Amino acid sequence: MKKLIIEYCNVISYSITGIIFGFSFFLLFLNFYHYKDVNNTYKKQDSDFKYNQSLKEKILKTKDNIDSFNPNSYKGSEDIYSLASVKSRLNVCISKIDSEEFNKILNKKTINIKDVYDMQQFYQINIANECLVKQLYEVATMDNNKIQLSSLEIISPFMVDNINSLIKSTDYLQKVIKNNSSYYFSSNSNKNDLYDQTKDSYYALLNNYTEAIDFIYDVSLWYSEVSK
Amino acid sequence: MKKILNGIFIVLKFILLILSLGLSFFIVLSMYKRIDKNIIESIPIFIPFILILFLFFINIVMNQKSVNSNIFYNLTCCLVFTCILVAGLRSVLDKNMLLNSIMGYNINFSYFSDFIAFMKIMLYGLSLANIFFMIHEKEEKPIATKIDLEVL
Repeated sequence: MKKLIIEYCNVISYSITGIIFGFSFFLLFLNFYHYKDVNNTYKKQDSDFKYNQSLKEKILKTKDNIDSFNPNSYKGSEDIYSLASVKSRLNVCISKIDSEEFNKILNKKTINIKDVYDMQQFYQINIANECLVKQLYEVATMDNNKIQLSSLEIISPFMVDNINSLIKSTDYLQKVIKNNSSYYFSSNSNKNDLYDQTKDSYYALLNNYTEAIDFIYDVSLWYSEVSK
Repeated sequence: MKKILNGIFIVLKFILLILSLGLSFFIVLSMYKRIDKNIIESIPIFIPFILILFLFFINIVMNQKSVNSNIFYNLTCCLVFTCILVAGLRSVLDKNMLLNSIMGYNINFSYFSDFIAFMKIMLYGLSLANIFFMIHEKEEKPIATKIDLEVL
């Protein structure tokens, strides 16, 4: 009986050790895999830099459109104070976007997940909050009738809709990339085929940047027409 | 060869245990400080560490060969402590895990607290296995048989 109990104890102890061995082995390699996955970097292509150049050119064109209005030489029928107000708001918008931080992000040769997060934060703070919400939303809603421009009432609903969609467009991405700090049981196939966190998030964000800059450019085009 | 390997694992398991305990203590201390929680409440996290340290101490003092010369058990111990150490180091050093910088303490508490449950399972498992390994038949000295005596 004593021998049997000792034999059982031996079997149990080896079983427990075996399970712990397997479990720790799995966790250790999961950690290495997760590390590799999280620290994955994306090397930008030449086409990316060309695309960034086109974004910068669009910002320059927007600046030109805004500068087309000169209050001293203006002879049109629109309210000059309203035009000056819109001009200053668009200028604030452009100065927020065309910053050193923005250029630093665009000029990076390799991108990792931290850069993508910084890019998202830049979009959220400078483009969505400082430009779209604080400046252009006020223009779209005519700043409680302080801005009086003839065609503003017609384009106002389109502006509001665009702003609403642009300010929420990176929320999903932020949640996804923040999740990289916890364990997850991903496989090679879903990493390579379905979603590459660094590369795909970068392009999704770049798309948001483009849409926002295009929208500001469109507003500046309308402004240059109105202020002629 | 087996003896040398076993000796290496025994030394390594003590070093890794102390390192992983120290690192876990540092992370948990910072974590509790951040949320203004009483440090005494973190004691349950360290009970398995203290338990296994106590059992290792008994193994050495009582010279229990069933545990000390068990290469598989010693290897598993090394693997478990390495795993804890890697998780701890990653939560401090892996800056690409975004919560590391977002939380502002340069430690990814979320990642480490996810790992605490696994850590407890592994350490309690090792302690339990150690206790079961302790139960073994006493090595009896071979009794000289009649033939042996005749030979002598």
